[in-house]
Amino acid sequence: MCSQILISFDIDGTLQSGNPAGPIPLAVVRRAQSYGWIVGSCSDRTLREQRDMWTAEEIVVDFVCAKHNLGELRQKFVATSFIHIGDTRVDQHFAEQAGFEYVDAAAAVKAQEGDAWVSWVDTLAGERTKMAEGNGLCPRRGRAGSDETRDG
Amino acid sequence: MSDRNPMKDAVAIVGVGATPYARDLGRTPIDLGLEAATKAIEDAGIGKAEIDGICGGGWRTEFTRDANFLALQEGLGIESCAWQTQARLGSGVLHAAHALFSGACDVALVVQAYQLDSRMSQSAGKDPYRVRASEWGKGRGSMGTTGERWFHNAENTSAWANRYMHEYDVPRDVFGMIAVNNRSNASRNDEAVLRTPITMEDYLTARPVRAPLGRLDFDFRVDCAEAMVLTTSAKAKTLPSIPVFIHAATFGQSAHGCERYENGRSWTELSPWIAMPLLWRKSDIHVNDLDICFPYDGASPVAVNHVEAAGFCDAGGAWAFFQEAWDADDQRLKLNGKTFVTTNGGSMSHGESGGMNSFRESVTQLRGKAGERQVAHAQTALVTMGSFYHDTVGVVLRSD
Repeated sequence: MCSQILISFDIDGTLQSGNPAGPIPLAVVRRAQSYGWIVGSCSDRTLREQRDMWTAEEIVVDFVCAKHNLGELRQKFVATSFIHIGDTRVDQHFAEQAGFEYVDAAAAVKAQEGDAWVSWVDTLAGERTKMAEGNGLCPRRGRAGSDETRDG
Repeated sequence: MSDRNPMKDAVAIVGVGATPYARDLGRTPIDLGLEAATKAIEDAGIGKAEIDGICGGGWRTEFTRDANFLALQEGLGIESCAWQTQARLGSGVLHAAHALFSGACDVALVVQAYQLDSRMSQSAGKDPYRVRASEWGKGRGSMGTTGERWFHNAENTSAWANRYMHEYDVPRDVFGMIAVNNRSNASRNDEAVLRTPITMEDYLTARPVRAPLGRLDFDFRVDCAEAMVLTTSAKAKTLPSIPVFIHAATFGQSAHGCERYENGRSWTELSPWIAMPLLWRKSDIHVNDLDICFPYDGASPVAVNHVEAAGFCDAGGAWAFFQEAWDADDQRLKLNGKTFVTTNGGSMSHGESGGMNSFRESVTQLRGKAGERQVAHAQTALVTMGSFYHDTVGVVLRSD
């Protein structure tokens, strides 16, 4: 697959493991990881709290970061699409400020039914692959500057 | 201002109760208030028919978001009352004490219920009840939807924080020590909403809200309710519960009641500096006698202001004072090496209940029932409440 997607999840009010629980099941996170995407969280929780949450859910993520530092991910990772999924205008503000596409969890979930969130990931994967192929972009996954990406 | 204190030790808190604290309990304020009230009445070991005074929460009797006194009386099935009022923050405790001491009532119930406003979170915004209640409140003397425009928005607190740092040449870390201390205490409190310990680095790198303050400088809004039963000390001694006595208490109000930074003359002319000196003039227990202390932590600079106004240190001295008081192993403050601060995590980490949880924690500690977080031999407590501008109170509590 030529496209590389970085997807950042807000936690509270967005993920079902959040407090309050949001609409997005963790199956979506796992599905995104199954495509080899760069997946993690950007939340107002401290980094330790974010790591603890992922550990509790037995999911190994590529990053955790403070929501207002979303832009740092663009320096750390190479991707063709940067997406942040959240539930507040604060999420939207920092996503747009960092040049991320913003997906409103509440609005998006209305368009999905049942397990359709998982197929949303599939659809997104297909769309972005076509887009990347059209643009001639096929970077490899990994940290910018690392051995994985230096020749990418 | 009056130095008299005929009420000294004449009124006692005999029952405390609360709901769970959570971001979204999916319940109405009156539902929460009734649960807390029922628990407090049970804790006091009295029959509900003995309650003849009720202080509810909120701004207006008919404001539907609040657990007001009318709804509480009806919901509890109390046939008759002789005293009633509404109050904000912890000021209801002082109103009730005055009512009891004056003879307006014999047993008073004080209840505060809090619920995330419809615009404070997406889940709250999906609750049609909250949306309607917020809309209803607009233009009716209330502040409308607090999420949209709450007069405690961060700008004035942040402005004071900036001015404090500038005038006293101290770093922002002084506020962070309150945040870290409170979270360390919350990690010992099963009821706390935020229990993961934080570091000063976490504090300093948290999302900015309004410079210099960030997200960890403010109280954490939750759904919850707190309730207390108070009575005369004479009656308290006939009840099965362990009473905690109100030794001294006072309001304090500066001339600047509006939440406008430019209205304040100086850090030392804000309302806590009216309340606290007056409190000590009424009290036989003084600042160096305290086992536990709860400086109101609606925002970290407010807590610092209350600590300094209480006389633990001079104005601007909290940074040096806190460094001396810091227990690095515990990541907690021990003022003067012995006074523990906000042992439940407070509004910033336990959850925001207008400071009512400080009273409940004080009672729990002074009863010796705080479990893992019990301060050994705790007998005296200072609870301060209120912002720079309104509902500022200081209360000294003691056990028998």
